[in-house]
Amino acid sequence: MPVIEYIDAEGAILTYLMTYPGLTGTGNPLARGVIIGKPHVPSTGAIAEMSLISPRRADDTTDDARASFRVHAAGGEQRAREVAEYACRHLAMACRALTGTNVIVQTRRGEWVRLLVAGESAGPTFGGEFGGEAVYLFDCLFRAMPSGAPYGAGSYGAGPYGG
Amino acid sequence: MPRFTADVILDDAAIDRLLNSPAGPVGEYLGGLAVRVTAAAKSRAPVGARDSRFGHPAGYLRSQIGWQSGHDSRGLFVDIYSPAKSSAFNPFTPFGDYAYWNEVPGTAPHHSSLPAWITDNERPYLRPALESVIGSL
Repeated sequence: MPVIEYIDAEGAILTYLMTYPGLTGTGNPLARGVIIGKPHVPSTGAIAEMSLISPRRADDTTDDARASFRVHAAGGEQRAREVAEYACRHLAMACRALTGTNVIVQTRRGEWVRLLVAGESAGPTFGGEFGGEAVYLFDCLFRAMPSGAPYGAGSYGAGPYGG
Repeated sequence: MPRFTADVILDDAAIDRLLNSPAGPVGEYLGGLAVRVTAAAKSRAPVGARDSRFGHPAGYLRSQIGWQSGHDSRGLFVDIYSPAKSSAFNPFTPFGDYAYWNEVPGTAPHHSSLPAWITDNERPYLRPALESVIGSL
């Protein structure tokens, strides 16, 4: 009987986005990166909070996980919105860049995961402004499957473009 | 006479995405309503004295009103509220629930001894704003 494997979808998406060229890090749209859980919103730059929402479906080959992103930015009223919107748009583009390609990433726990498609997206939409902070939302469905290490990957291989 | 039949197939995953996706159509609709309620609440919020020595600048309560969307086990929601607190330099009630005291007049500590220029200005602003927007749908 085939065993249905649930993969570490959160970890794989996180690795993919954190290593996507030009998305995270100082000077990039999501300067403070993507995290799981409640963020401490920085005084400058944007940070994305990721969570998995329903539906989650797995069969004997793939695992579908829907991720919801809340991109936060602080600052003056319009400035915060601009920064959050800009970061969320680039986050959306990074997610949709998966379609038509597929990448193998290694999660922090060491699992190798092949991300196949990101689709059925919603947003970016405005998700609120509060106390000088603005939020933009983006949701996307990721299809993933377990993978072996790509050819040539060392034990420290991480990210879709390394290895 | 030909008879036609049709099968209706419900895609549970699609319905789930429609109803529970924070950035989806339902979330976007809620956000649109939240923007309207927030604007209505800001226009109703009382504005304090411009020359208050111990308080926040005039318009502080109004400026603090905001909204944010959320998602829990029951589905999507938006919170519209004001975190406004009384000033740290207020000698009687520093960091008090200024936003609530205005929304529910008479609830401030020592309310009966407050000057008229404060009590005359107190009025609910969040609930009437919500009622006005819901009433307009």
